[in-house]
Amino acid sequence: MNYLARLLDQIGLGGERVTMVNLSSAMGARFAELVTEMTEKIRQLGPNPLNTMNPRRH
Amino acid sequence: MTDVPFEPTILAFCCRHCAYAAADLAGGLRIQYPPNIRIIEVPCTGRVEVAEVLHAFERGVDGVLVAG
Amino acid sequence: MIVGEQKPLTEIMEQLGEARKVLVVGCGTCVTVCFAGGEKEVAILASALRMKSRLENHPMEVDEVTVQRQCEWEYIDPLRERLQEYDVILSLACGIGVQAMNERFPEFITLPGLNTTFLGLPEEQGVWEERCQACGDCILDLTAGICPIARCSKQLLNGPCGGSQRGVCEVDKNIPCAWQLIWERAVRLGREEWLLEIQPPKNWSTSRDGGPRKIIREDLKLTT
Repeated sequence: MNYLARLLDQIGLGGERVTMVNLSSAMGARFAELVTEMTEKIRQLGPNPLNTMNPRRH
Repeated sequence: MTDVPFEPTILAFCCRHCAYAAADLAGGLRIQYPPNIRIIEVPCTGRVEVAEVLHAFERGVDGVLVAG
Repeated sequence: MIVGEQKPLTEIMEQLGEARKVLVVGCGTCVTVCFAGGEKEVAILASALRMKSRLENHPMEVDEVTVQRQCEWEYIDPLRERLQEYDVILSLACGIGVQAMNERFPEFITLPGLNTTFLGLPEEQGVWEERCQACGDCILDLTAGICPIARCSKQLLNGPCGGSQRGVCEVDKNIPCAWQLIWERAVRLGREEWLLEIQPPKNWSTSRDGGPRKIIREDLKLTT
């Protein structure tokens, strides 16, 4: 994961775009929370600059 | 188009036994979470290759979540 | 095996310069097992180059192929057909593979994506250590199976030197003293007498000092 984040930094996409987490199957609420956090984080980072072909989906 | 607010697309690789089951449970409990996530079920997060994550970014996803 | 390490992405990008179409060629032998230039690494690098070049506004088309062994003609010959399509070839093999490609396909440019580091072994997962310098005149029978040429910083034949401190080399505290290891092994085997004989200066003419080396086996050559 560190390797991947570093590689994304070198490419110029930013290592923050990838996250790894550990959950148990009983953590439904935590899953929803994580997805919310992650969506918010990526929203702050802005769109992937490589995505020039597709207009934003909604 | 520029005034359409940015909605990120996030790809999630979820372990069948852990995070995928957790997502299932979240659904079963009717817990709300953002629809930005696209889930791919994998037998284990060890199955996920670096090249696959890069490929996802190459194709334009905004973030990747690897959940074990 | 030959151990290699991938060059930094920025250095590779500089080498590629203005190239528009690039073929990344991996090797399925040594550099695959040291995770530097096999199929997986080729896929990762190719993807990284495609993305980085797009972000830097000179998009490259990068294709991938991995051959079983880049240092043998019969494995690289089938690539010939495809090479016309590319501005440049980026090899993820060791220096031998890079040269094999340049030698076999002189009309195409093959660039090195790896640094060939040494001949060694994986000490543990993720750790490689040098074990052989290919000196051309093996003396492992005299040194309890531990090579002072590759593993002693001074390549001593009659060690240890005064820089051996509690089993550690003075050059770097992370280098074990090869002569300490040799002595301990000889003691464990009850063969201290192996080390009593003073070794004369080594004949280095079999090593690089004799110039580039070559082996000719008449018995193996195909007669025409």
